[in-house]
Parts: sequence; structure tokens; C-alpha cells
Amino acid sequence: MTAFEESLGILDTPELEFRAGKRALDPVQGFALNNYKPFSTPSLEENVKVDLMVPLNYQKTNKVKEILQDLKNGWALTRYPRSRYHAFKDTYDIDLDFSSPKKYESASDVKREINHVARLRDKRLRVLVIVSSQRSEIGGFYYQVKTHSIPKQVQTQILLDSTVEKYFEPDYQRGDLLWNFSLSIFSKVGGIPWKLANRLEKVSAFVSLTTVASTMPVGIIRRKGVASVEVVNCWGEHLGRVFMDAKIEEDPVERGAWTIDQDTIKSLVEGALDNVERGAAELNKAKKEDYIVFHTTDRYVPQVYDLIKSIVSSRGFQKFKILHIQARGPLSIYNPEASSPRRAWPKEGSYWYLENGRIAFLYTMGRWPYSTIPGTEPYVISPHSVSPLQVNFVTGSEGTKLEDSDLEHIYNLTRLHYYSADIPRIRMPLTTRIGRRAALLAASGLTMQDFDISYLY
Amino acid sequence: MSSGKYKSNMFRFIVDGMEYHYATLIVDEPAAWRALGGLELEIGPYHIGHDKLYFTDNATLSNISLKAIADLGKTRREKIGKVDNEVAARIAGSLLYKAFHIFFLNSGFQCPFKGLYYKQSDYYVKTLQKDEARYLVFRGIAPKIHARDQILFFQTNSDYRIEIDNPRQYKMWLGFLVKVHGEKGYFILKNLDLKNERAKLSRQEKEIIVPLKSLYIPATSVTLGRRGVLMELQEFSQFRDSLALSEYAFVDRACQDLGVQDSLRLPLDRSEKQTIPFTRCHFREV
Repeated sequence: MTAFEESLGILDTPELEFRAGKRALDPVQGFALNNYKPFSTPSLEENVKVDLMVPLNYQKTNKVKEILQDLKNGWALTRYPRSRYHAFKDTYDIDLDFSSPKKYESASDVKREINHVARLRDKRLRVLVIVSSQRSEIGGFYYQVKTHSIPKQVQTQILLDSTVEKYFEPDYQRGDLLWNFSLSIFSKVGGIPWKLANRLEKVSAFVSLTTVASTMPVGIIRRKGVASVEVVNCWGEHLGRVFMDAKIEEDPVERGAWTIDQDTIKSLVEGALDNVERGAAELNKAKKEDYIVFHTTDRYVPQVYDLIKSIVSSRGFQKFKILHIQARGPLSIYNPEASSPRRAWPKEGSYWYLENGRIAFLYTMGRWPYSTIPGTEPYVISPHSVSPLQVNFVTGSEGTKLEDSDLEHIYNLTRLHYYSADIPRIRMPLTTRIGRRAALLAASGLTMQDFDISYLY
Repeated sequence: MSSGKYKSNMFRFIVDGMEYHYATLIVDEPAAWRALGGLELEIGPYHIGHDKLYFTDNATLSNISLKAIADLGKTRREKIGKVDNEVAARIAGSLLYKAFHIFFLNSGFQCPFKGLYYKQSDYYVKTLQKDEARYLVFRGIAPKIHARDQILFFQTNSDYRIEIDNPRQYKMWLGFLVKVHGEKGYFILKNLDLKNERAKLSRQEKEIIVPLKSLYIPATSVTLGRRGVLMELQEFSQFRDSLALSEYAFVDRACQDLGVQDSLRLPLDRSEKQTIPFTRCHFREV
């Protein structure tokens, strides 16, 4: 039997824009190598104040203080240029002050401290860094802290003990953590580190729809849960969000597909479209020429999609499509002749249609097609596991199908995660990432909806 | 530098006139599934749906499968015919999955969970023995079939499991989330009666007492993290251990264990008269 040969398309790597129109392909190239400044820096009267809280009897407080000092002063003891981290002030034009660490015994102590910070006049200059021993599930420590701090508009940053531990391992590239940490602090005080250099064409807004089910049954088959929509514009900028309690159930025939009650879907989609209308620069163009693109990671029964279609149409939006994005598509390709396993993955931006117009695979991670340092080979990612997204066209207005531009949008939207400098390692687009995070917070008891995305992480 | 040519885990199958047969069921579908459930290896691949029993081998019908249904005491008539391709996508997918299930088992693989096939070797299973439990991590391979597009992927899958070998170990799980076989949702392990092998569980102010043997500790990331074993288990399941260079290398190794290189022939009946040929796809950059 003869082997089949398939063609693999490759999308251009998205460009990012920094201050004064400077452009780079990734943040570390912009900040660490080219010394670019962030796209937008907030005007603050004073230095940013980082307040530290550690668990009672925590043995590594001095280590955390050392990390904070590195965060302020920079760290360059590495032969890898990408991992050299500049002093905070040199990159962001803002300096950091630290207060003495406070101890906490339980989440209640942290909440008390959040209440205290919320009463301070300079609270928008403050970020509360809380060291936690473990990741938590819905309703756990992390979510308790966030659901308490967001309504009070207090910025918090959880630092895991395992991260502290890893930071002091001999071969650990400290700059990797410090860039992520610094970007998080900068974004939380109102900074915008970069934006997409080019707007995403032919689209007025992206709406992500997410459902989070609780483990508790309601009645025999229904479960209590939260459904949420997150809306961003053609630059990937946050326009709004709506979330609400929902009665959801798994379809008995199509396993893994959710049914959501009609009233909830109606309210969510109407709320999303209100945000699209408010954020549209040209409403007529948004309704007649550009697309509204829905991104979902959950699967729903056809009735849910039909209801979304009818609501969008009835509001006068003529072009729309619903795409389902699966984080790990089954396709796996590999160059067995590559010089090392690390170079064997396909280039990021590679894509292929399993079925034209309906199912595609898109590598948002992979072998970098560019080099951050001229004259050198592209950076190589770890050899372990690289798989593409699977993008499925679910439904849409008449004549719509899955196109290259949809894949290009998704690829670009992976570049807007401000909590990691290593964006070529971000698999999922901003829409689904922040949509899921907001839904998890809502499922943990958060009721306030009108907050910007810097509070989400 | 790479040449831009790639080997893939994807295979195409081109089959004209694949024959499916069916028998109209008299019993309800769940009863038929139950009746045939334990006979897979003996009767070959079959699918139950739309009140029919679909299969690929005439011999299957007369020998074992209908007998199994007849044993339920409700058999009436049977009808044999071909199913055309328009009806067939889901049925073909189901039959192929079952054919692969038999193929994997006949190739010496085991199936601890649906969609995960592994062999008893260090390449597929890792065990961490701790005071409170045995932690197992399986990494395996499974077929994923797009029958409509006539495509097969061999993909990886992994799962964790916490095994309690001695009831006394449950003492070290007091206050943890546990599950009960056949019950939805989580409970908190509150108390133990080791003498009578029972446990007291709570959920939302309600308490229940269950036999210890009905309990299990779900291997969630949070629980494994609290026990300090998550990173080590993930290193294995995410192909960061020294035994596998990458996920792809793992798939290639598993294909070798299956006897698959650039092609394979999947038997659809016990006599292996009917097989489906699969050919590996390669990719190149354009």
C-alpha cells in the first residue's frame, strides 16, 4: 500500500505592538532583547506597593523575599538571552515597594487583609501577593480569595509554594518566572504590555460561551451550574461579560453534550449582543458586514445552537458562526529526520483541514518559525508533547463555513494572555481562557460581573 | 534543520462495499448490551442501535450472538441485510472501535478504562508505593475514528488511579474527598469502623454509612497534589520521563507493539476473511 501525503498550510506568526509602534513576534523578544517599552503604562503618582502574605509557620519567607527583590532589581545570571530579566523599573517605568510580610492561618485572615486594603486610598497601587501551598478546586482557597477580592477591587496574586521551591533549583531559569510575575503585576495596576499589531479582519466581536457544572445533582439528572459569556472585540480587547446560574444536563444520547435551559441561553446571548452593540465602532458594519464568532470548548445539544442562531438573527446580525475548539486534537505529526526531537514538531501556525469548511487542526504551539536573535536558529520548545487544537465548525448564518481567517483569529488570540511572557507556549485563545476562568469564579460564588480581565488571574 | 516532511499518527482507510448485516432486536437495547457484553472476543465486533443488532460476520449471528439474546427468552424474528453507507457512519465507527478493541486485546494489550490500552511494562505503567496508598499512572494508546472521513488516529491517553491495599490505610484518608461506586458526586470521609469494614461519609450536612469496599479515592489533581505525588505522576503521563522522548515517540513505540508500521489490516470477523486496510498519512509543508 502507498502512503498518503497531505499538505500542511502555515499561518504567519502574529506581530505584537509595543510602545511607539515598535513591533516584535513575542514579548520576550520585545522586552528582554530589544528593550522595548510596554504599549501603555498607567500614570501612577507613587510606586506600586506589593504586600506579601505567607502561611503561618511558613519556612520559606526569606526565599519569597529574595524572589521579590529579583523582581525589582532584575536577574541576568544566565547564558540564555531570553531568560535575562531586566529591573522592573527599566522595563515598565514603574518601581516596586515591599511591605513587611504578614502571616495568615486561614482564608479568613486573607479576607480581613483584603478588607483592610480595600479601605486604603491608594488601593489601585497595591497588589497583594499571597503564598499558597496548593492549587485549589472550585470553591477552594484560590477561588475564595478571588471571589472576595474582586468585588472590593483589590488585586491579588497567588504564588504557589511549588513555584517558590522550583525557583531555587540549580538549573531553573529564573527569568522565565520573573517575566511572568512582572507582567502580572504590571497588568494588575492597569498596564497594557502589548497589543496585536493588526486588527482581526471581518469580525466585529468574539463571544466565548462556557459552562461549569457543579458536582451536586439538582433533581435526578439536572445539575446546578453556571453559564457564562465573555465578549472581546476585533483587537481582542475585553468588551463585557455575563454569567448566571443555569440548570444544565448532559444529553442522554449524545454523551458529553450539554443542555442549558432556554431562559438562561436567551439572557446570556442577549447580554453578549448588548455588549457587542455598545462596543461597535460602526454598528451598521458590525451587523451587516462583519462576523460575530462564538467560541466554545463545551459541546451543546443542537437545540442550544438553534436558539443562539435565532437570537442573533433576530437582533439583526446577519453574519455569525459558532466554532467549537477542542484543546487537544488527535493529529500528531513529527519529523523523524530532524536533528533532535526538540526540532521535530511542525512549525507553530501549521494547519490542515480534516474536512474542508468543517474540521481543522491548528498548531498554536510548535517549532518556532522565527529566531528571536538574528543569525541564530529558532528557539526550540521541549520535545515532550505538542498537539494541535481541533477547530470544528458547528453552525452559522447561511453560506458560512470554517475558513483560514477563523484559524488565523484563534492563533492571534493566543497572543493576548498577559500573564505569561512565553506566549508561544499558550495553546488556547484568550476568549476561551478568560471565559472559563470567569465561569469558574462565578461557580465559586462570585456575583459581580463588571470587572476587567486583569482581576481574573 | 528539518526538511518539512512529517510522519503522522493518522491512517486513511479506503473501503468500498464494506458489508454490515443486522438483525432486528426484540429485546430492548440495554438488555441486548447486557447479554452480549461479556462475549466480545468470541463473537467479534457488533453494534446495537435503532432496535437492531449490527455486525459484520454472518457466522456471528447464527452461532453466538443470537443465542445470547435468545437466552433472555424474548427472541422473535431476525432479518439480515446490508446497511448502506449513508446510515453507516456511526454504526461503522462503533464496529471499528469494537474491532480495534479485539485487535488490541489479541495483541497483548489490556484495557483498564475505556479508550486506554496499555501493556504491563514500565513504558506504559508507573507505580508509586506510599504508606497511605499505591498510586498508579497509566499511559496508553487508543484509536480515534472519523468513520465519515475514513480516517483513524492512534492517540495517547492517560489516567491515574489510587489503590488502597489495606483497609487500615483509609485512616490516612480521613477528611479527604471520596466517591462511592454507583453514586454521583463526592463525599467527605468522616469516620471508620474497621471492625465491621464500614465508613461514615458526609455531604451537605447529611451523613451516610457505607461498606468500605464500595469506597474509592478519586485520583483528582487536587488530591494527588495534596499527597505530593502529582508532579511525579504527571512527568510520566506527559512524556517527560527518561523512557519516552516525546508523545510521538511513544505512539510509534506502541504502534510497533501492535505490529503496525505504515499500514495495517484490521480483522472484522473471527475468521479474518474480511479485513479493512489502513495506510499511514505523511504531511509536508507548503
